[in-house]
Amino acid sequence: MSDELIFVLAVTLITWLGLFLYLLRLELKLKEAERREEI
Amino acid sequence: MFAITTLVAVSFSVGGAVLDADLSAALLWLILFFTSMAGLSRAFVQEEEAGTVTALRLAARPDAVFIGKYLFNVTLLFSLDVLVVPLFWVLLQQTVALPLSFLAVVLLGTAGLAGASTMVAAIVAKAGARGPLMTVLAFPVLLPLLLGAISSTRTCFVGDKAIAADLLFLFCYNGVALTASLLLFPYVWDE
Amino acid sequence: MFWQILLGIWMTAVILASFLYMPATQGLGQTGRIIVYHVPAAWLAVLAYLISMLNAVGYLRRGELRLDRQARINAELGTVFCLVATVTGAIWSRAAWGWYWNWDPRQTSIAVLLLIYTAYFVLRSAVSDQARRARLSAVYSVLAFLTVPFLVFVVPRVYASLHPDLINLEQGSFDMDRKMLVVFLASLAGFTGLYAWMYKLVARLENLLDKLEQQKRGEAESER
Repeated sequence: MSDELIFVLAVTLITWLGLFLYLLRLELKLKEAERREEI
Repeated sequence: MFAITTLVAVSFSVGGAVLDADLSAALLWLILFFTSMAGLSRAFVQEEEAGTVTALRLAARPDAVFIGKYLFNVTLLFSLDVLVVPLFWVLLQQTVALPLSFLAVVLLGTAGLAGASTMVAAIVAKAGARGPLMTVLAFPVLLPLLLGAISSTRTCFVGDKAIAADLLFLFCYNGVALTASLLLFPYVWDE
Repeated sequence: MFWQILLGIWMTAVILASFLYMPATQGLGQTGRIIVYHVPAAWLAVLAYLISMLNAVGYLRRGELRLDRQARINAELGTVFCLVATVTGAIWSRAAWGWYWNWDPRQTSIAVLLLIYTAYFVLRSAVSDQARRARLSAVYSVLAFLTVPFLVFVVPRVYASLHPDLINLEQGSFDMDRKMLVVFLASLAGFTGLYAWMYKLVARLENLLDKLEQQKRGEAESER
């Protein structure tokens, strides 16, 4: 695997994980807000 | 008028050299497209502004209203063709290998322009009718028509391929556009 | 929560597989790996538009504003995926055909889709009345949708004679190497799951904000 390829792989992975963790954070915050709404 | 200005400008700058068929076909339809945009965008605005909308709505079924506008626009664009096409032929020295087909393409293409534009104009009138709005909305809807018209026009100029399929496509576009417009128009027209 | 975590692991696996497990494509080399991202994105962009259009039709028939909101959210998400598809397509194009853009039939279609999405939002921003905005954008959504099958069926015929490429359809299932097919399908599933999750998130958020609005208004009135 060439260096370039590893670089692209790394960028893709980091981008995806970044997006994923952000969405997860949104999910948790929403859950919290929805829970508070019920009270 | 816009069309004449553009034609003259292009012809002048080209200066007697013959344009490649692809290019001149595209040019023709570009001119027709933008002129239509300028001319048809206000198709419904007058009624909105003058307040005669209610009267019209009471007097006629939505179908009738649309057909009326449509036929008016078609006539308008056909007279535009009568002016633009010969001028185009003269100023750009374009040789036409299949004149009859070319005529058919122009008629079908223009009718298609009128049909889809009338529908979009109705939407735009209700939305505030700002200038660029018409072009932005109409372009994606008209793109298949424009691509088809440009391609078949090029073929008419050069005469190197069969034209039947393209004519069929243009015809179908007209059919689909009209049917869809007639179905959708009431939703835009009835408040 | 389980599904989201699963999705995260799934897509991570897909990414790794697309570089480490899958072989490079013939003729295109390493850049061909992008097909695993490009095609699902494009597919989802079209699907999103279809769903949005169906929401629009639903609104026209029933007049429920909820449907208009759904249409809008689907259109927003669709635009995001459409952008991803267009950009990855341009990268692919550069590698395969030398430049980022050359009006290949497929490229044209994705560009038109992007134009339709843009026009849709321009129209929405021009109308301030909620009901009217919903109605007009719904009508436009349906009208513009008619161009999609035209472009899918007609453009290849018209332009086939000018442009010798367009391998996507064949490479979709039959010409694809086994391993690539697996990764590709897995990616498609992952993307779809991602879309569904994003949709739910946005929908829930907007509903919450709505409730908050209503509460505030209720309180303001009862104070009078």
